[in-house]
Amino acid sequence: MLPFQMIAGGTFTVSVSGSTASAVEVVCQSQNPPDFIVAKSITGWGEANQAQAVEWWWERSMAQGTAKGIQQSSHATAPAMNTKFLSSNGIFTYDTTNPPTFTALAATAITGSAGTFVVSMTNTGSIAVGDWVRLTSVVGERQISGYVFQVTAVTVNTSITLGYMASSGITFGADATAAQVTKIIPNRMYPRWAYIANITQATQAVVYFTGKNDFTVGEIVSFRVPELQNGLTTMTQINNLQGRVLSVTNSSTVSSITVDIDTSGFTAFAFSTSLAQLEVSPAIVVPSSSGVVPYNGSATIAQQPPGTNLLDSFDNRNTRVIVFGHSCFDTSSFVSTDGDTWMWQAYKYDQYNGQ
Amino acid sequence: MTVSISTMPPQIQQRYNGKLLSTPEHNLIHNLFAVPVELPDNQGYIDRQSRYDRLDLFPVPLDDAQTNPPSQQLNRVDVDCRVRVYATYIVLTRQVTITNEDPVLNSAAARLGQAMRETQDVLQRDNLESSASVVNCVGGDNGDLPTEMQLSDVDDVVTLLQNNSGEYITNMIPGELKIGTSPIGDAYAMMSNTRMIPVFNNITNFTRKFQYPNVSQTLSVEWGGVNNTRMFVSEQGSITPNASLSGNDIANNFVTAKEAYKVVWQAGGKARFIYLPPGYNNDPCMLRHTAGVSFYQGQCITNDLWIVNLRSTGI
Repeated sequence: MLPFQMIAGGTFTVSVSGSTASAVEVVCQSQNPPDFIVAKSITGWGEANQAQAVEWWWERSMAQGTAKGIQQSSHATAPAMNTKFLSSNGIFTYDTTNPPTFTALAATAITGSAGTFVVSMTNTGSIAVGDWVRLTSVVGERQISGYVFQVTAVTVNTSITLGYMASSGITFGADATAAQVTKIIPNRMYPRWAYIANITQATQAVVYFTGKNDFTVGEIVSFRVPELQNGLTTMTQINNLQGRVLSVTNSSTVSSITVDIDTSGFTAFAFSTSLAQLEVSPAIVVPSSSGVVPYNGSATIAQQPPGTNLLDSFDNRNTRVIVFGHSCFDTSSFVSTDGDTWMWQAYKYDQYNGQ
Repeated sequence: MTVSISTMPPQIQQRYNGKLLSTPEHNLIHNLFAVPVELPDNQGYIDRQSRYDRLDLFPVPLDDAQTNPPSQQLNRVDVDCRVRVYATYIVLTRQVTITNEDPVLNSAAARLGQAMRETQDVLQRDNLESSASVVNCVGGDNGDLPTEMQLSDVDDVVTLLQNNSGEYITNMIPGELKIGTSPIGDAYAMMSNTRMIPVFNNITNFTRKFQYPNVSQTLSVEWGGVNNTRMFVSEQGSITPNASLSGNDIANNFVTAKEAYKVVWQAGGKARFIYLPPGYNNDPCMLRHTAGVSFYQGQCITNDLWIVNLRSTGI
């Protein structure tokens, strides 16, 4: 036996916009956490006239989120290498069945009345685009307290944007004046129920969600839209109805499905108000069963030959992930080029310090 | 020099007790009410079960001309469940097993078995957490949303499941002439975290298991019942941390009717204990044993109307 095993490896591509890079997440299909992780830039290593990081590594005695590595200076023929330590947004690993938890951060406003859902925060912590956050203790918009949203934009230490909520077209009567924002990493059991942000009144209803949805074309979904208190109304006619998903949208700001339910005569979908007695359950869509795949979004014509949707099978898609934080690729003036290719490897020690 | 117990050699001072201490084991509740399904080998890895929808009733009589009425459409829905493989193992050097008086491999087998069963349970818990529809408790008075669970919340869920034609899991335990006991109705099953115990005990008319007229048809993991729901608890019951309106932990209490969810095992992939003696796995000098377990399992909800996640705070 070797004293260590390489348990996973491969390549990934870096995404950079301007001088800001996105974090990279790779799958490490291992029951146990890796003890040593290393990544090296294939494109950038020795590249002329391009100051950039070319190697990062993490070892299990180091704190999660840190990384040590090498940056090379900009030079035409012989770039100089310097060592570098990242104290945050470096390398971390977790399995999605038991993800790390994050401290709640204070928010001072949520622009629900304008329907833009920008959350003002003097400390945005490690929240990045694509992360999921839960709002709690919301003052002024209590109707979404406890809800989970996906973040579509971040202005560091200024605000985050809940763009999927914003693109749903829903607006509230007032803005929130305070809230707690907690980053969460969802479990990846599939399919998952999803919070409804809005439902249109149409012959084929469009259902908007608060973050990217997992539903697939042909899947049968079921609605739970409970009554509101204090005389407020919402689309309760759709409660417990089942519908077939005709099309799915999961863009950078819009998450929706179109279903074969005619809601044109239904009451408009609405949230409770912040002042109303909040004795309600959230409006959600739950997975129900597998249906025939429709032909080009048609509610009546099935795909020919008939398509069987296997993507909606109940499944355990949890995995172990390794995250290379954005600081690996955009620290100060050492910025990677968009599309750069890196290699990575993860190792597990059979014996660590003789143990 | 005085001979006292402090001068005795360690071997004299100490006796190794061969009776092992107990290892904490979690209650396994989440597969208790699942329909077990076996996926035969060599027939794929996705188990599909189907259900034919109800037909419309036809209370209008035919006319005197005896014209055939329009036909009804028979509709079928399919529920797909993918089976995945799970495995883990430990490595013991032969030196350990021939040096140690304690039969370490025996303990390894027991612990592997425990880890496997608890994993099977957790998989089902996570499945229910992600796919069962949610209902917030609102009957309590702690000012949060959800509130702490009260009798009205339990009754609301029973009503909901009855409205959806969900069948009870357990039969009634009728009253008997025993002091301090109380009958239990036909019941749905609720799977909860042990942190819910104080909340249960505070529910009006809650009947602890020891107050059942007859405890012969109960399980050790059962805590009690009220009206038409019986509560089963586990340390690894579902909790969503800091998720309520006020940021408190939420207990996810899964209330299920009969045939609401299932667990799928592959015929050739049932739970196995796998022992390999020294000499396997690139071990030419025969230095290492391995002991492992593996199982194939899938889990899914089979009728979303028959299972509800009744969320409660107050834990």
